Parts: sequence; C-alpha cells; structure tokens
Amino acid sequence: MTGVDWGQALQVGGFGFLLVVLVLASLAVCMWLIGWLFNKSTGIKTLFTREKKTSPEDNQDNEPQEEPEYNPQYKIDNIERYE
Amino acid sequence: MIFDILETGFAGITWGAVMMIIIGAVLLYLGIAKKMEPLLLVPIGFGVIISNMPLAGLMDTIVNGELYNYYIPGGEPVGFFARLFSAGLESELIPIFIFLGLGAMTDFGPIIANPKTLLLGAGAQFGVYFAFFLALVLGFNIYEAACIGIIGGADGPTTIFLTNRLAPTFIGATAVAAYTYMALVPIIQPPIIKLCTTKKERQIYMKPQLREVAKKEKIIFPVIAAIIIILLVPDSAPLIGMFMLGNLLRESGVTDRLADTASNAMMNMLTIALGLCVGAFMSAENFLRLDSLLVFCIGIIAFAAATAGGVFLAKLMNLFIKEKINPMIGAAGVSAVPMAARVVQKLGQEENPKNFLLMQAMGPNIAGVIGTATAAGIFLGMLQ
Repeated sequence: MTGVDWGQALQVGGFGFLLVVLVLASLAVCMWLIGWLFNKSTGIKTLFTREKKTSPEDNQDNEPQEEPEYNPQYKIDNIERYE
Repeated sequence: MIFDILETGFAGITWGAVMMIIIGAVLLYLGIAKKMEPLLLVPIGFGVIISNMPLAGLMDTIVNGELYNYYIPGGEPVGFFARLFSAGLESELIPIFIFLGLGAMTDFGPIIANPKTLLLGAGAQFGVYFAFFLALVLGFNIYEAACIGIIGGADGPTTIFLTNRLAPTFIGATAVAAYTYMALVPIIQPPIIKLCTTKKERQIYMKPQLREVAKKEKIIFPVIAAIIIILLVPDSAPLIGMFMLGNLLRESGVTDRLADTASNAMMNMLTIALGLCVGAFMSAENFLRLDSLLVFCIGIIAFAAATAGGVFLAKLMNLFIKEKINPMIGAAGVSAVPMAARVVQKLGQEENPKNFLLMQAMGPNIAGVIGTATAAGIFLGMLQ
C-alpha cells in the first residue's frame, strides 16, 4: 500500500468510466442503425413479394395463419445452458 | 527405519496451512452442498486443499536460487501446479480462451433487438470505478485498486486477466472474491434492487417478446462490435476479440463443430484448469493477509454499487423515453450471466405476475460482459 497520485487516479477513473459509456453507446447506435437498415430492406422485400402475388393461384397461400403463442417458459428453459 | 514421521506431511504442517485447508473445505461445502457456482468452487476448493499440503511441493517456485513452497509471480515454477499456473494463467491463455467459449455460448439477440440495453451495461460499470476509488482511499496502490474495482463487474476471467497483468500477487483474492460474489448474486442483489426502487417502479410492465432478429444481424454483430470496441480500446483486444470470435463461430452456421468444442469440451477443460490454478495459488503466504480480507470487503461493495448503478441509470433513462423500462433490468448489467437476469425475472414475477423480464434483462446482462472487458482494457491501456 502506497501514496496515491490523485491526478492520475481521477484520470483513470473518470476518463475510464466515460470511455466505457462511450464504447457501449457507440455500439448501441451502430446496432440500432444496422437493425433499422435490416428492417427497411426486409420491408422493401416484403413489398415486392406482395406486389408479385397478383394471380388467384398466388393468393391461395394468403389465408390468415394463427400466430404462434409466446411461451416464456421455453426461453427460460433454453437459457439453462449458460450454467 | 523406512517410515519416519519426519518424512511425512505432519512434520511440516503450519497453522496457516491448516487455515487454508479449512477455507478449501468451506469452498467445497458451498459448491457441493449449497450448489453455489459448483463448476468453479469445487476445483478451486480442492486446489486450495492439496496445494497447502505440507511437503507436497505442488506450487514450489525458485527465486534467486532459493526454493519457496508457494508461487511467486516471475519465479521459476518447479511444482506441477506452479507450472500449470505459469503456463495457463500467467501467460493469460486460460482467461482468454474462456472468453472464446463464453462467446460461443452467448446469444446476442436480446441486445441486437433492443440496443439501448447496452447502456445499462455501462451503468453497472459504475461499481467498478466506485470500488477503484474506495480501494485507493483505503491505501491500495493504483494497480491493486484497478484489480479490486473490476470485481464489481462480476466477471471471473476478466478479473483474473487484469489482476495477472497489474497486481499478480492479488490473483487468488480477487478471483475468489469475484467467483464467490457471482455465486451469491441471488442473495446480494434483491435487497439492493428493492432499496433503489419503489414498488410502483418494480411493477412496470415490459413486453416479453423482443423483435425478431435476422440471422445476418447476428453474424454482423460480433464483427462490428469487435471492430468498434478494439478501435476505441485497443488493450481490450484479447478479451473482446476472442469473445466475438466465439460468437461468430456460433452464429455463422458453418463452424458448428468449432462452436460446439469451444462451448463444451474446451470450456470444461479450461474451467478445471482455471479452478485448480486459482485454488493452488491460495497458499497461506499469498492469501492470509489483511489486504486479502480488505479485497473481499471492497469487492462486495463494488458489486452492490454496480447493481445500484445499473438500476439508477435505468431510472434516468425512464425520464427521457416514451416506453418506460422496468428499472430492475438495470441490475442485470453486472456480467454474472445469466444469474443476474434470472434474479430480475424472479423479482419481476413477484411484483407483477404478468411480467416476464428475462429476455429484457439478458440485454444488459450481456452488455455487462462487454462493458467489464472494455473497462479492463481501459485500465490496462492507462496503467501499463
């Protein structure tokens, strides 16, 4: 245990914490952008697919499908493998 | 006489060794009977017991021509565990490869689906820096303080990686503190979360279903994340690089064999070696010191501050966002995956049975792993 250089300590602690926040914030912005681009491109693709299906045969598979129910238990069980 | 009492271990037994054997037995008890992090506490506990056996010589090290019966960083390893420690931990191979395995086991889906939860991982790093300053106030030097602070991130391999670089004599104390507190997450976190939130806040409902994440997004994430983080914090490259490589092996869909080996066989082998190395390092000379006890005390404060930091950041975010988040998910920003997220899920259910916060809490939880590894890289960059 020794004397402390508080100037250096403040630099390491203060600047270090800000840098961690900056890194994670940059990553969040990047991922949000990528997600947004993906959603947009998926949206455009869906639009084109819908436009193509104009004949009665194409529309046969357009019957409303039942949405699968969300089962949180499944995901909780799934996550056991981390241990 | 072939058998002489002086040739047995009884002749060399010391109070320190007896004390350490008792500590090893307690760790075994916690691991086996209480099921607290058994995969780590069992090899650590057993390592403590056998390495403290007198005359066994498992951690013998030569320094300046003199033989010591405990490990001294930088010395010439002679005993079997000393060689394992030198090759595995001192060379940093084990913690770095553990990150490869962790990456292969991690699903980044929750943070890709909800990127703002990455910020909650940053909030939890407050505990790391709070403990860093606390350790300095209590008289530790800046290198030791950084290693003690990182315990607040609740990430064993990162703690070992940083301590080995900055304050190797503290490796036993910081590693055991980190793993012990990780095991105690379900006991430590709930009272702190309750203290920092009102009942109304804990009842905030969040939709359990996150948006569907495309396969391509999952493949791009580790590559982009590695580039951004390593560009900003080059010293985090070994940990973040391996973490993201492990995840890419998992998500690419063309390296299933490698991902399977990294997350199962390799991870298990490394866990055994890591546990034994950490346990074997805990000799009476290295562990039974006042500063080791202080490390444990500051470690728990670091962990509590990290939990509170995440919760308060979530509350702060709620002031600015339209769709409110349950502040409890901020507590999952410590990187004890997935225990912290499970604690939040359990508390959420207790307060509002409609709430399924697990997937929402996994985001900050994984962000905590990235945040702690980044914080370690920053400490290294600034202090080495």
